[in-house]
Amino acid sequence: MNPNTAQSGPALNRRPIAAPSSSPEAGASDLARASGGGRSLLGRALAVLAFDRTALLGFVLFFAIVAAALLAPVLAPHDPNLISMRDRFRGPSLTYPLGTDELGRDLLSRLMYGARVSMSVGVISVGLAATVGSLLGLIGGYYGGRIDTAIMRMMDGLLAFPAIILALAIMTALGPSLVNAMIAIGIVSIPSFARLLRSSVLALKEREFVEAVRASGATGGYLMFRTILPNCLSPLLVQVTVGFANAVLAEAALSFLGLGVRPPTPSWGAMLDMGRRFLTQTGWYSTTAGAAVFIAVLSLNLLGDGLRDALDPRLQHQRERA
Amino acid sequence: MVAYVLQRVVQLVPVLLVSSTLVFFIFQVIPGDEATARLGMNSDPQAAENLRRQLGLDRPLFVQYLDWLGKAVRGDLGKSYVNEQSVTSLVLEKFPATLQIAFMGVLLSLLISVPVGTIAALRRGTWIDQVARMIAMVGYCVPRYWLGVLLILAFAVRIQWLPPAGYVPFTEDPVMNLRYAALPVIALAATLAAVQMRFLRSSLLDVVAQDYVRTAYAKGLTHRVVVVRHALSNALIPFITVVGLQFAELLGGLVVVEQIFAWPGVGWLMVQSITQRDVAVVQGAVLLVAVGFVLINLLVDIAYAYLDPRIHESYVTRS
Repeated sequence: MNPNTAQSGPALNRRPIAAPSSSPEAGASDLARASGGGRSLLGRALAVLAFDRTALLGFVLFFAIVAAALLAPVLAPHDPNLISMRDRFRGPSLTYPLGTDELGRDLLSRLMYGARVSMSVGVISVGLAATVGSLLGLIGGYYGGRIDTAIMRMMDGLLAFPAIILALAIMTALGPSLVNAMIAIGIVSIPSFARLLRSSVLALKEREFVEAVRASGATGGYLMFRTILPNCLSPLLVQVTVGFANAVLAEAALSFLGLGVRPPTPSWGAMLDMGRRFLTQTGWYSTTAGAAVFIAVLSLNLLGDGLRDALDPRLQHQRERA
Repeated sequence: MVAYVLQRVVQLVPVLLVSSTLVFFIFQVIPGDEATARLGMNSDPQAAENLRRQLGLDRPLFVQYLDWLGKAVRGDLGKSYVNEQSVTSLVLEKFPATLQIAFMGVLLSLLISVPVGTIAALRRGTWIDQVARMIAMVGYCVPRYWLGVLLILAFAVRIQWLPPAGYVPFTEDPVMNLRYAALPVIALAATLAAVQMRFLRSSLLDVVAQDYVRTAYAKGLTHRVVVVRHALSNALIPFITVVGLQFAELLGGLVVVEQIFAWPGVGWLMVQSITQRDVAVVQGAVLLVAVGFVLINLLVDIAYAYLDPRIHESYVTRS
């Protein structure tokens, strides 16, 4: 969604979003940042929602999906795995709000439990990618030289695959399961975080406030984690949002191809795949499962766009023009 | 320019080395080896041992790796367990089908995105712009597999205009080939066009803010002439890069689309081989796709440097 980096539609986006630059207008706030002035990242992120209606819409939709996932055992009208052959391919009704699947299971309940799979894959794989990727990017950017070259060549190697192909290869090797899907998607997403953090560190480590902390005797670890990292959090937060959306898409794609979660555990991708085999009987099955993926991805991207507009100082002028 | 191209080609070597190493070792993780895959899990241990020696699987892993890499460089990626065909020829056989819908998809997306993106930028802030941006956002977030299913539902199940899935080679029956290609191509083009439109709109707006555009206005040219003749030509340079990268990404992005529409391309072959546990084919296909992906990216970079004088000029002065 960043015009400076290329990406092709709902494939995994592994190219990082813009890093903070050392432009003059950004430099002006250095003093405030170094002295801990200004609002916290969370505070600014929440303020975005108050002013940006589309970002708010994204937040509300995403919150609803998370709530559905967390509260599925309470809210779901039926047991998601309860088979009832008499009720196969029912249309929407009061008993089955979204109809039933080929085994007479309630689709709404399955979608709600499927949200648990999608959300947990998002959290774990993005958590993995953000932790490992950020660490690699921080170290590479901070120390430079051979360490940096080695790390970045590894990242280039990972980026030499279309994301879904790499995830597919890893899933083939590890075998289909929820945990393996998390690992595969996590690994595939590492380079975007590593590149993002590296370019942020490269820009930040020359700045005066870092110089000041260094002059007061701070060493590598402190500078990296206490001085530089906190200043990378805004772009990192945006990348986490976008990465989450991509993880949801990737999980659904892997499950769609039969490489994700094992049945009978409900997963949106697997439901879409099963549903398309029965398109002549019912369009609801596939349509609702795909709609769930779509809404999740849309909500995260709306949120990510809003956050990027608000948190990236370089985009301020563009926003005013747009 | 030649120096730039050479440098980029040299930079490719370590990338390809790392990615091929990755491909080799990823597939070493699979429990069981080629011998058990061929003979079955409960085979005679002695027979398995013999076959292992015959296939060279008893050698140290590093030796096997060098052997595999050496052959791969010469285009030998081993044989399929299923039909003993060479992996390279299997994959290359499927490439034309993949390229066909990739090309057609990109072409159709350009026919949509360039005019719509330009109009959205021309009429920035109007309802046309708002609608275009909303559609682009939706198009960006729609999962291709869902769009594919919706298209089948609409055009093959409800109104039966087009076949839901299948393939006929273009050389055999061009009309049927295009009828089969229509839905996958639309599914691709819609999602590609969304990204292109967003990008073209924002890069046009960037260009419009520059001084030379102000000069053009000062000369008394109309808004339309300035945008189409002066701004668009510059905005299209980064745009071409994006389209090129999209095309490269399609080598992977097509896996799911080919699956839905039973379109026998490289992605379809890959999924097929995964279900048959035909590891050599998956491994070979992944490697070839990676090589293709890297090469297209390289071409895009070179094209970009060629089209944008600022880049190759700066390179010349630096070296």
